[in-house]
Amino acid sequence: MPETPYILAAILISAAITWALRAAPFAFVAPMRRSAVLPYLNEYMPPGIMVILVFYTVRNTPLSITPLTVAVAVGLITTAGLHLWRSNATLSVLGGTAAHVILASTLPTWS
Amino acid sequence: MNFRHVFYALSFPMRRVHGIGAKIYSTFTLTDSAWALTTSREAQTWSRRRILTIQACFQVAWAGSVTIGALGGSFIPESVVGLNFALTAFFLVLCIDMCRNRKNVPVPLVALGCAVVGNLFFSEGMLVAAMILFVTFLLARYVALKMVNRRA
Repeated sequence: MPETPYILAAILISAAITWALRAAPFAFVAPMRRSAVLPYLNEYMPPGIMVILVFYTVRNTPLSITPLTVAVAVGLITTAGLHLWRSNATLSVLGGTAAHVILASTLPTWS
Repeated sequence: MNFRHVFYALSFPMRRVHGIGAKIYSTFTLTDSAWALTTSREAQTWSRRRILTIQACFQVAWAGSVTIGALGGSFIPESVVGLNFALTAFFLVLCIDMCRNRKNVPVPLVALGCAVVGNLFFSEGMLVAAMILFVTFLLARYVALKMVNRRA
């Protein structure tokens, strides 16, 4: 069992590294603040980044028809459907996750 | 993984967060979710208090749920799988809200293309690759639009 000072030091060091990595980009971007590119990127970048993040979280899903593929597809459709219908983020996330978990946990494995 | 924060700096309303202490806290707690909420057009004029409150809520929520998860995770039977899909659903919901605000379909589709290409060539490093591809595309599109405008 590692000693408490060791654990504390590890936590402090990783916190410092996390902060430095998150703060550094702001120093580079500061000179660009007045540029017209920033409002443009602000307009078009966020939805695209979210698409990339969604893809990243499901990238290990096989492309053939497997229980996992079905569960992921149904989860995505349920989430998007609920959100387009009711615009309630909590409902959409809970509903989509529930649909996915139920299918992923109960569908028999076939191959 | 942390490389994506380069892109977050581009649109996070940091100029609204004045004071060195506030800036340090704000950069430390700049999570995906905090960035996603503070990057809308209206958010560019939000007050420092509002932005910091959002970040503090996410920090408490993340830390709290990770603790609960670590303590309670053992109570979830092994037959229940796929709970991590909540993260996917969360990103999808944010994406839909952002698209609704902006009403621009082709650009997110290009992002999907970047993700597919990044995944083909870089597998584990796909996140950074896809984001670089996508931002490069946006910048090229910006230059092209500017040239067309100048000619018109």
